[in-house]
Amino acid sequence: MKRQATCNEKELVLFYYGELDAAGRQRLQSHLADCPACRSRLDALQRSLDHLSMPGVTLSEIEKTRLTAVITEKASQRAKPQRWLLGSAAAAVATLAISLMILPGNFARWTGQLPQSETEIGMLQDMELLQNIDLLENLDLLQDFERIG
Amino acid sequence: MDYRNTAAVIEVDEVPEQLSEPMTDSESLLLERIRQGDEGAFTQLVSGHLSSVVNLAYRMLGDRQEAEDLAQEAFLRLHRSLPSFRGDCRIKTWLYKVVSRLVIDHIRREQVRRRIFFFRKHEDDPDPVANFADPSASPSDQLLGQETRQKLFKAMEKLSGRQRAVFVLRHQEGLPLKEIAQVLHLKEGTVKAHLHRAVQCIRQEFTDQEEVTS
Repeated sequence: MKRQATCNEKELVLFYYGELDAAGRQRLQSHLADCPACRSRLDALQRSLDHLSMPGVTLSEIEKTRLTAVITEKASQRAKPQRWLLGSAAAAVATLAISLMILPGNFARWTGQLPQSETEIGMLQDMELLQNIDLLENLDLLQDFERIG
Repeated sequence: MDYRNTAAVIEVDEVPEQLSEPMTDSESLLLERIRQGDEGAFTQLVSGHLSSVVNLAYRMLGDRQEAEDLAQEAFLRLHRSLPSFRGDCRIKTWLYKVVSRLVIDHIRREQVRRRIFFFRKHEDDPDPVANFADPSASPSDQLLGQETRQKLFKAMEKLSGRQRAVFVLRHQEGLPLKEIAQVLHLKEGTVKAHLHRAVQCIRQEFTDQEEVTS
């Protein structure tokens, strides 16, 4: 079956999920009346998605009780910050400072040579991202302390 | 991918904008009791939403333990942000927003870690880590069949965190795309593109399999 210039796969998906506005729906329905290729595509879409249910997990009452207790306990603990966490945050700040020294911009100063390839640059950026993630997690805790105390 | 202009961690503690359904009276009362220090009220809140939150995370990640961990984090963030929670949306919507963003952030971090430790040159290179879905199926999963589950999660593995979130929220949870756009802080056009890509990828996985077996 031959496709037409007006065939639009993305609109078929939106039509299937009922996400087209009235004008779009009308336009597509007119197109479907004249386009066997799109009618066939829509049928295939319905066949594959109609009965597709994402798997889930079933929590038993015991699991639910255990998890709920863990969350409640952690919530009350987070309201009472521990001093040693401040040390962890300080260590993270120090780690970030070191990582900043080996960013692509400072790489030459740090190693005496420029990064050679896109791979090296990409790796350095990834390292920076990971350091920032860990740092921001610790900053999150520091903000908690400021807010509470 | 260039991370220089990308936030390392998505901020999920802010109070969401007005979404389609405001909070019910019973939810407001429950939150008020929690604010007044009633631990039993918080337990009631967690217990009421735990299954749906764990399931949402599991469907996006395919790993039960990680899903439980992220669900825990979502409830802790809700607890922490209660003082500023205005009640513009249902608790469930707020939790969906937090869980979705935690999952997206988690997936992005995992992808970065894998690239670092396996020195892949490009994001599209085959991943040396075969991250199979959690094999411990629940009774409801037995209806779906192990093979279908694996195919579904295999297809999901090929999607970005945002694409997974959009597909699960629309296909499984039935959220309108407009609401998904607000939940994920994306433009509606972007959400539509993510949904299309996810559907394509999932259908491709099933079609490829049928061609192999026929």
